[in-house]
Amino acid sequence: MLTWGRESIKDHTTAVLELVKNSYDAGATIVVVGIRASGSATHNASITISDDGAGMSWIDVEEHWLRLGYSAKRKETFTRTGRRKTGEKGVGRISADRLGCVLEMRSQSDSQNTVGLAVDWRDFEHPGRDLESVSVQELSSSGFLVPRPSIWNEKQQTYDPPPAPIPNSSEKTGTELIIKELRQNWESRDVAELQRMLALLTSPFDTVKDFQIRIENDVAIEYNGVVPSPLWTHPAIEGEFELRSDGMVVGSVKHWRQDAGERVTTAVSIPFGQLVHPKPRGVSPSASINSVSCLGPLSVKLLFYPQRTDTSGTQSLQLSELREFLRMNAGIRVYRDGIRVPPYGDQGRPEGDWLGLGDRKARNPAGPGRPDFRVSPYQLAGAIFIGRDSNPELIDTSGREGLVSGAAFGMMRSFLLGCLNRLESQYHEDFLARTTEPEIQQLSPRGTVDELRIRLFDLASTIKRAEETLPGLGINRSQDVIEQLASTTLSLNNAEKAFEELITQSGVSRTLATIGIAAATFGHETQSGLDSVKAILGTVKILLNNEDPIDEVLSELDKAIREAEKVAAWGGFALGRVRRDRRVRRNTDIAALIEEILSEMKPALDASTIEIISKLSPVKARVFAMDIECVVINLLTNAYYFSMHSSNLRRIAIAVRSKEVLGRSGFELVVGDSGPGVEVGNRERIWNPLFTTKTNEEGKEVGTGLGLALVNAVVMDAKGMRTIDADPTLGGARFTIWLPEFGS
Amino acid sequence: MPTIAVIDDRKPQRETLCRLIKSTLRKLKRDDQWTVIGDAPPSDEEDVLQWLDECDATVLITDWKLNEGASGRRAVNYQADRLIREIRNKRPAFPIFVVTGFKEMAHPHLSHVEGLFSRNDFTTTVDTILPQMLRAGQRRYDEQRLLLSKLETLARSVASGEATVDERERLQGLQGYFQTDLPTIINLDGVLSEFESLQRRADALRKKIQARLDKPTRRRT
Repeated sequence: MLTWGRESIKDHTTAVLELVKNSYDAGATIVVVGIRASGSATHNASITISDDGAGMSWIDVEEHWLRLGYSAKRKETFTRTGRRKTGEKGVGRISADRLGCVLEMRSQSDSQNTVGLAVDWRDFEHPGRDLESVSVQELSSSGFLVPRPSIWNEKQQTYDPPPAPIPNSSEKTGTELIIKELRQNWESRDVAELQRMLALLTSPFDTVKDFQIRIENDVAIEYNGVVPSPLWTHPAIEGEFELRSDGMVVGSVKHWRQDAGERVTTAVSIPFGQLVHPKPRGVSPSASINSVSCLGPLSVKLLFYPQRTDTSGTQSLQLSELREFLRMNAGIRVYRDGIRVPPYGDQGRPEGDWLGLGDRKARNPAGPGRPDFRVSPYQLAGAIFIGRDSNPELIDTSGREGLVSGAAFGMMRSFLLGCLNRLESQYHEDFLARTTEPEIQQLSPRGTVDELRIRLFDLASTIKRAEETLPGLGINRSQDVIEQLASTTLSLNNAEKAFEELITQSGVSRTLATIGIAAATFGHETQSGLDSVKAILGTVKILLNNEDPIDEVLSELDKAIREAEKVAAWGGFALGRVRRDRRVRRNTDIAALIEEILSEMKPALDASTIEIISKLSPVKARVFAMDIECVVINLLTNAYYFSMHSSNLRRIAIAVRSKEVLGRSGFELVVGDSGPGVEVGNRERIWNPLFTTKTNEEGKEVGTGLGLALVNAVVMDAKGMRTIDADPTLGGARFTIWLPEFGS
Repeated sequence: MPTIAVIDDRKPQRETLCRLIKSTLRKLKRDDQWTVIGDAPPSDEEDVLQWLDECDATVLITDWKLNEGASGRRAVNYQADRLIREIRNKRPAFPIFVVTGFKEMAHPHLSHVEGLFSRNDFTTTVDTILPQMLRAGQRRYDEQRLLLSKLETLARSVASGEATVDERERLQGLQGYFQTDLPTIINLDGVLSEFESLQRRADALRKKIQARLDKPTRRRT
């Protein structure tokens, strides 16, 4: 048992942390960690953990502390001062064994008698020895000194020298552990690491104010004194978010506003379902996947340090100091009831970047000038605050570290990513406001060709006018110019044809990408349909072999035909999208095109009980059919995904009508859904490639982030317009696209 | 007779599965020993366990995606994971098999069922799988019969007033297990006691009356 316990504790610094947690659970206001190991062989060195907590009586020690696996904390979950206790596994004393072979424990509770005992853990290791025969020695001298907290000196902005400890008494309770015959040497780097871990043991954001940790050691004296919390100098942007039990996310974002010339606070109030979109599964009225009932209320604090020299409005450190600070403290940590849950946020460990920010950034390295900007893991510090009682589904693993991966953990991760998206969106806006360079309008390929054609025409017109104005003068020279122009025009015509071909290929690529995206969204229905067809036909074969009644056989064959038709419809849907005639610009009945798509998607929509409300006015326009299909299919696929988040109303509305804008004829397409809607801060970002708010059940970002980017590409190519707002009828998002008719 | 219960919110699929199992039972010449129930499942999760007990089900085959529609258009109001968890809490050894068109998606969620199959896999290997289900179900059936027999014995003992405290507690435990309401059996004991008490009083009264009648009356002269 002891060997199991010893091996379950990762290293000696973790063992010290466990003992410090015990002091916290005892309601201590001060715990002193003393290490005497300088220049000493391990058998002379010692570690002392002393605190001013509630202490223990003999009964506490005999019936509780000495019983492995027992924890009073399972029964009494709060200290007398109202602190939620942390350790519930009852093996913290194993930590003492992990550190050294001999333990002397002295403890004073508010009863009269002091407890003093010594244990040599090696006595428990003799094979075959009866545990009951192992004796625990009572100490003749059980007096000890109870430490007192250091006082903060406001003038000096530092702590005064520690006050002298006082002898234990029934009025001055506490516990002292002296661990001898250490199992490991202590080096300077161990003390440094210990100080770093102790600094992060309690929340650095001042949620725990009445617990001080002090180091007194002779190995690396520069680490002596009260363990400091990390000094969180002003970040470029700071977000605080709280998830309430009613599903609302409230909070604020503090950031620098160029126009205000100061740091401002922007309030946040968003439904959870708009902030983040975890993958929808089957929902029941009582437990929707989108409800936060499995998670419970929690709060988040995020600080972003871009590590740039232009951190305007911040009391920034020197860049080198900032980098060093972030090297030690970057990462998102988890604090439960004010005490850290390792290893989340630990630098250099795989679980350190548990939100996958590194991968997220690698997939999309856009800078802050782009709406799809992502932070890097080393630019971010912060924490999420949970509680054993408020978040009972966030449970410990059986080891010493981490939480069990489950629905609640995945939801927590999704929530954090949603908060981060909000912060990134705000930083991007602030960055644009600070940047004075004009935005360069990028022309699409079609735009480039059109631009070139116009310039060429202008050039030809200028030359022709010159010829008419100056007849006979320089005619030979202008003839040369015209011949050169003709040659250039031929080259440009060839280039234009190549461009057109590229544009067509790009259109086909968009269509194929659209089919791919739709397949990823609807594909499981097709796969299920195929499985059903095979199963039914297999059943038919068995019924025939077993000479079952023919009417049953026929009934099953009817089912197989129906299921096969559904699968064939999907195949027809995919093949129909890349037909040659779709790649030619022609006069197209837009309403009929949309109806064709709707009828092909109907089986998948029916399977998920999604109702379509369509209002398709007769519209004919000269367009590439595959471009219109790309827009419609991607908007419908998006609407399908987010309608599934709704447990009550699952509806998609689609409408098309003719509309003229600024003298240009065209048509307007509107797709609305009953999903959670699009948060205002994301309404520009979602058009960018690779941007997604979808997360899977583990809370990791999923989705290609390409569907709406493809829609945007078509709209931009056609010089159309697109907007997003809230659907007033269905309650979700409403996408409005206007496309001009070619030649208008 | 032991029963295989099939839960699937879609009737065509439920029907196909039932036909397949019945046909295979006939082929295995076990159709006189087993029945298959493929009625519409209870719409509420709380009723499922009772439904299983009422139809004497000792094997459950269920789909995984059960309530995928919008509310008002669902056949049942529970998900399969949750249903299986509830059954496991109350009947830890109940044989449960999942047959679904979403086997890959279901797999991470279902570590505590006896088997997970795609529909096609189940169909092509039904000759092998069904006997396994029957064996698991038969074990379950035999255990249930034994428990019911114990329940009957204990109930009789309590009704006759001869039950010990331990026997009463065991009866209440079995009552909870089967979710059987047996207040009349427990109360009958009280009624019997009261009856006996009244009988004793009536007896005493009778003796008193008899004594009075037997007492010679004094004649007045």
